Amino acid sequence: MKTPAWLERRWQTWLARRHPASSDTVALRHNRIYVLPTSFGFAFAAMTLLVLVGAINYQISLAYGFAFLMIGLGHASLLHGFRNLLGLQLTAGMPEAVFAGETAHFPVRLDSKKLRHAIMLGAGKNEAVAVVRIDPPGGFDAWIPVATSQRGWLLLPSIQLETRYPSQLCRVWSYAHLAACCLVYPTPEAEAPSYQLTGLAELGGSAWRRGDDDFSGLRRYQAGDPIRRIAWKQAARDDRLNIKQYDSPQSAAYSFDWYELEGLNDEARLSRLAAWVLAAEQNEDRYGLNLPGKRLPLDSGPIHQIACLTALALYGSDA
Amino acid sequence: MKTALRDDLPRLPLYGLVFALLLALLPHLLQLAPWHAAIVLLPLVWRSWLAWQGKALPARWLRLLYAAVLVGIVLLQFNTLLGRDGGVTLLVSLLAVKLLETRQRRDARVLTLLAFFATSAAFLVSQAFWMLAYAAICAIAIIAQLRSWQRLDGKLDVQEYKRASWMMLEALPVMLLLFFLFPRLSGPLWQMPGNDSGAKIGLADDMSPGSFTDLALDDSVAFRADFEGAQPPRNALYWRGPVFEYFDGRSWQQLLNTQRSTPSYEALSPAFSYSITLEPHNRNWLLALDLPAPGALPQGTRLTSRLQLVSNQPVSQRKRVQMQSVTSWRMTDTNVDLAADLQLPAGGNPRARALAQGWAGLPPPARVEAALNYLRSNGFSYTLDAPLLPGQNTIDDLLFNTREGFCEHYSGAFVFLMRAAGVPARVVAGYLGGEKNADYLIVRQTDAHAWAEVWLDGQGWQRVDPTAVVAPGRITRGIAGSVRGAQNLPYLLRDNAAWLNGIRLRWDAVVYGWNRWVIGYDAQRQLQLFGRLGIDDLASPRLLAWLGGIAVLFLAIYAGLHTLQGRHKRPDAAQRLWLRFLRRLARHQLIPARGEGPADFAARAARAMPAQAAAIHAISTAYLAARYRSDAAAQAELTRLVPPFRP
Repeated sequence: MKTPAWLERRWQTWLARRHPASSDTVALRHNRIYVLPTSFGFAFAAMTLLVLVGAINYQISLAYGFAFLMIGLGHASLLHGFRNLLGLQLTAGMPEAVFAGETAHFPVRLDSKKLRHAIMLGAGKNEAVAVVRIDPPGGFDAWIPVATSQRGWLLLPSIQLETRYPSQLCRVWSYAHLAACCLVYPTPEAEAPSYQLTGLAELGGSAWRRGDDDFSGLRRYQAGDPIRRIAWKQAARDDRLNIKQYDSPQSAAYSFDWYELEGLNDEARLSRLAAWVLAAEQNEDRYGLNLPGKRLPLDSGPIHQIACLTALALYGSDA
Repeated sequence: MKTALRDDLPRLPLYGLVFALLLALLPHLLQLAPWHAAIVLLPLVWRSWLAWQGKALPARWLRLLYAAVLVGIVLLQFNTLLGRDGGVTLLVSLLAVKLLETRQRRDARVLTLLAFFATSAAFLVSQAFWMLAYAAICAIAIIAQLRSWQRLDGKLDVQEYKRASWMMLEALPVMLLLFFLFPRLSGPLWQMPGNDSGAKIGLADDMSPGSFTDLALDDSVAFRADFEGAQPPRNALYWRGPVFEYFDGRSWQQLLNTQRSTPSYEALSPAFSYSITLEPHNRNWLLALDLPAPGALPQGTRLTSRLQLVSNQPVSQRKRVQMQSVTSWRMTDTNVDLAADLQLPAGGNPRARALAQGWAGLPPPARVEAALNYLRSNGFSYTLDAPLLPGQNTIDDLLFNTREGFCEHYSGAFVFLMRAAGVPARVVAGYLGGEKNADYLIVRQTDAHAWAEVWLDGQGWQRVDPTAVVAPGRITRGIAGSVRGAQNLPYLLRDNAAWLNGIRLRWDAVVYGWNRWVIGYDAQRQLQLFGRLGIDDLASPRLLAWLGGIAVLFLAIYAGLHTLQGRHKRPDAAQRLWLRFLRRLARHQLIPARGEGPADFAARAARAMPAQAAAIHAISTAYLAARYRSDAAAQAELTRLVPPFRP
């Protein structure tokens, strides 16, 4: 069954008003939980009616009683399903930044003071990402995957929680709007030209820097050193971890300049700059960014990379 | 949201489903022949075995063949696929076959619904009150297996059965409320295909020597009666049933032609109000105490020309009827065709005819008296093991040879004599007496009785009981005290089994309550109950007020429970004393800060009030010991220290 677009929009607006995204923690309250019978529930109701008709026709008092017992069971299922969601607490965590086109994974933790059964968790109308059972004091850590297409901040869409517990007669569901967002970097350009060939500013710096090309010796391993440079053969011999050091013939530092990339539109420029930032970090070059209204000085390392990518992601936005 | 649970059915819930089906089918299987039951049962075992072995389900053609065989058996046994018994057996058979193609949750859902249906259909078999308990057990098994499908680990354990039982308890208030308040209809919505396979029990359609002797040995309940207000004396408790008018020389038959109008009569006694809960006997007649009060016929009944109360439908379910009766009456109709009541076989019984013709000169009441005198004074005895009367002249044999008989012998012989003497007479069968239990009367098959009615000018049909002159005790004391050969009576009917009888009577009271309030709860009973609550109509404001009141009550209980749960636990003794201590200190602007523990606060308070430092320290130490180490001595110390503490 397809709902018309305008109705769907109305519905979403109404939901958003009812479930304001106020904080990163939400407890499901009774006025935010919805209940409808499932198709099995309707079939069960029809069967109850059949038993009742039989009871009336054959004037069997106990069959009346049994039909009413079935109604009572339906009612009890409804309450159990409702209680299964009531008071459930959701906390959104900070997701890791991703590049546009990748899937962002929002961490959401479910906590409860009491036992919960078979709660399906998902974003929007998509397939449930997890079926959750919570056995306090333990909670449940779920990752809500959300596809990304645009750089910038991605808000966590409304999370749908649904349960057909205990007897599949009722579908009980609720929405949680958690204030959580994921930073989405621009998609790095796939076949970007090498930043070294662009003839852009090769700014000064030391004549030689530690690079990849010629082996120059070993030094003791320090925390944070790349694992691929550990001299494993050595380590096997003398029980100490050493790092292989190389000398690079070139000492390089690049400033990637927005204004130099003429002939490309804004998003393409951001894509290329993102690709260069990744490549330069990979090559352990020093690099900086020059964006309209924002400059990042020459540096290298993961923190600098994140700063650069963040600047690219949020280019043009107020944040 | 799409479900993320797997669609196939894990093994343990499948076993749970088979178990639930087995329970639901059992009452039906017990109705079938053993070989038939085995054939129906086989798919359950088969499917479980396949699941156990992890094997594939049988081929489609095999399943279809199996289904066809089962349908064929039902057709052969019942000649129909519809109707009550045939339809239910067909359903039960197909339900079992359906299990052979159950591999998905969807199939299992269908079976779950059918299991509910099969459980409710079991009430067609019996409505005894353990049946409801049994149905509840079935429902628990069905719900438990249904619950287990929601489990992520695909298990089914005792927990699920416990939780399912809880759900049943929660369903109970809804069920009771609906049971008593749901409007009951007084008749079927439509007529179902007839199914009169139920055996006829109780009084028979005809009366021949020996037919009542069999009944006297049957101590099952025929009906129960409870009187509102006065109850007639025991010797007036004649429960009138079928009327036998045609005599073929051996047996007495009812006449089928009932086209004549009902004779009118007037009451000579006050009307007794009572209701009868009649056990099903699959015939139309009802049993009424003598004659229904003129103009007070129960709904759905009519009075035949023989003054017999009949129901418009055969009594195939336990039936409760409210009536008014008179025990003394006078016919006001004089224009009654009495030819059938003077009928005699063309020949036979010459001695009896001769005897009766000897009284022909007397006025009719004197002829009646003469016949009774004859029975009283010629050594007749009342016995269960009367000799068989194999000859042609059964009346002669009884009156002049054997002189031993039971009520059917004497009533038959008396009516014969009356007719031979020219007095219109007929045999009436029914029950006499009954056993008092709590506030009602139990009438058993063993109380079955036959008596006579004679037509006297100016009075119309009047009862004459020839047995009363042969064995007066039968009327006043019941069968056990009056009959010879009582050792053949069921043990419980004999006089010496008093203690056992006591238990049985108490049990019967329970069963009767069940029948009266649960089985017999119908439109009439409902109105009666509503009447007691002051509701005279289903659509009345009073009923709405009751419903509203009940709803408010439930909400109040719910809100109360909610508040209780929300509130913190009541502080214990040590805590109460400590709070008192804090209140005293609060007067001096010493209030514990958020997150400040008792020790820290006590230290701060002691610094602020050096004069009280020792007392404050003692109290806080005692409090900590009493509350967190459950130290009884410290508790006593606290009780001693806090009240006099006035900083």
